[in-house]
Amino acid sequence: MVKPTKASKSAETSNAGTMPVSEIAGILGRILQRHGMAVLEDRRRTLGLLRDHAPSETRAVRLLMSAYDMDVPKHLAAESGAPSQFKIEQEVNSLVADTGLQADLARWAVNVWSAALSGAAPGSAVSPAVVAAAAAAAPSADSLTWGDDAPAVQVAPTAAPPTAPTVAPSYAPPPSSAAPTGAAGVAAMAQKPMFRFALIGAAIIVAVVGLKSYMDTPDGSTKPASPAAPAQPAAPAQPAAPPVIVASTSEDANQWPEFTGAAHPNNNPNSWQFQFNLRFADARVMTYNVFVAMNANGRAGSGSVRALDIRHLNDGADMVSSTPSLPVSREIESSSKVYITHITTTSWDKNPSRAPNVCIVFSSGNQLRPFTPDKGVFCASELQGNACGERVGCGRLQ
Amino acid sequence: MVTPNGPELAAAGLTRRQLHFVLAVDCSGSMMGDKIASLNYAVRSAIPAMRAAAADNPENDVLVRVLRFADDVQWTVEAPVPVDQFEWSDLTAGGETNMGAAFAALAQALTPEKMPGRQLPPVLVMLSDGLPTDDAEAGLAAFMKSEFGAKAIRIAVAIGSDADKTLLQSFIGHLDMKPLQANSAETLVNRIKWAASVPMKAASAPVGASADPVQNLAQGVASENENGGELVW
Repeated sequence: MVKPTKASKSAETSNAGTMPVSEIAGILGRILQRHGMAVLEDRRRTLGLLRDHAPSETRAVRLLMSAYDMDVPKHLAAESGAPSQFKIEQEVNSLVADTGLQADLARWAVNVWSAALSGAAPGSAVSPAVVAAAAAAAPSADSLTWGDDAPAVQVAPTAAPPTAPTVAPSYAPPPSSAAPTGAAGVAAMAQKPMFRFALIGAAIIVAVVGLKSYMDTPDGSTKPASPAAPAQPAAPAQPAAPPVIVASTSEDANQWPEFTGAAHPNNNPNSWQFQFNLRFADARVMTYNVFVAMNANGRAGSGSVRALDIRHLNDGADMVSSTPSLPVSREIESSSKVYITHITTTSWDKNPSRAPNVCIVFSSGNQLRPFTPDKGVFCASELQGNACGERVGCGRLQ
Repeated sequence: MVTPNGPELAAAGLTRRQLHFVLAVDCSGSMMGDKIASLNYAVRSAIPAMRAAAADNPENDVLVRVLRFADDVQWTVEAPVPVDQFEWSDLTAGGETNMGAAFAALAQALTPEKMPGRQLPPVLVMLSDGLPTDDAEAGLAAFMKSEFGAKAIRIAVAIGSDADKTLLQSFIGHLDMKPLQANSAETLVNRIKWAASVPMKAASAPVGASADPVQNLAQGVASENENGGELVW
């Protein structure tokens, strides 16, 4: 259960209007309880009720009606139970793409509808927990999970594949100067066809080859033997940090650890969610959780990232950093038929974990087909200025 | 014995005619604040104009009634009051816009049984900023079926640029006459003053003075709306 948090309370104030999210969601919920869901079939009545119950919130009402006109409440109501975070992300993305609304305003509107609809179930009042969850401008979580549809943060050694390298308390050495990521960032290289895949191209191809051979194994299900974890120097002391699996800086894709829990939320092939752990130069280990949804054209979309310093795993949702909606781009490399998707954390709605900005690129594998997160690969590099800098680590998605 | 002032003589046609002037006021939550305050001020300041219009036709008795509607419908001036005695009590806003219920209440009140004697077409002025939150069309249909509802001169004042003018137009029921548009406190005062006096004169005009008094009013409304004033609401 998501508890109301300081973070969610602070996120209640929105530039959508002066009325807190929870308050207007409560109003909307009461309207739905009083008049029933059937009121949503009548636009004039819905608008009239909103105006009567929130007369001073002209802007908020217009935002909610923009979402209404894009069938957001209908889509959310079609979900069984409370809408998942991913469904909310989808609706935000659609709203941004179809109406030109700013992402934060779109998210505000979707969150209000979500909270109101969740609280409007027969016989129930608007749940403070639901409202609090909706109030967060970006995905939030309780102390242990990322959300209802997301797996728990992958930190326990038992969660690791048997062969995955458990590196803590070691410290991964920085990549060599010859490493592609040392020359330029992913985004910069993406602008230059010669170097488009300098960062991840070779790595992904290696991974693809590896994956192909993996998928070509006779039983098709047995994981290949993973090599032993590379020896790594000792890390600076990080008290109380449990052993974790972190993304590898190795150039050898066979060295990359697997991170489980990647998925297409709601079985939507244009949407992805996955998570991984990165160890930074200051020895901090951050776990990142990535949501991405592509538009219908498959070339662009939006997403969001959450991050948590693993030392704060037990400190509740207050320590979860979260971004606003971020642009996502995707390239389809025709020769290798690999989808390469980019998302960069250029800003944060809140960043209590002081998560470094990262460029994340991930690939769908070696088939020209909708991305399947399992057997995908990713690499993350630290954002330095406006460019993607040194690679922090790569991994496989399972 | 028949006297010169006896009922038989009255029955012969010398009784005064009544002109019922009904204000139906939207007091829903969307009217809160500046709108309801301006409306209260406007009606109060329109009373002298109403009395002057009534004085122009001394052979008629102008009777005023006031209906407010929000979550429920309430006659704030239930018994028709002669315009000379009419005083305005400020209304407050809050609740939903049950305009359909208001139409139904008007239909029940504007019947020959409730309005005995010789009647001029009543004048109904609907003041609303809102979008109805009940089945307004059903209420309007019932209203239009009532005898005096159909005969009434129906004026609508749309308060704010996003009022439901389509429904108000249906209430007016005349293609050429549009709702009076009031987008600011200043224009609302002017519209209410106009609506409280000019239609009263039209309704009480002698038969034959105008082939279609509503047509004349429509021209007046169009002229009023040309001066839209500042767009505030």
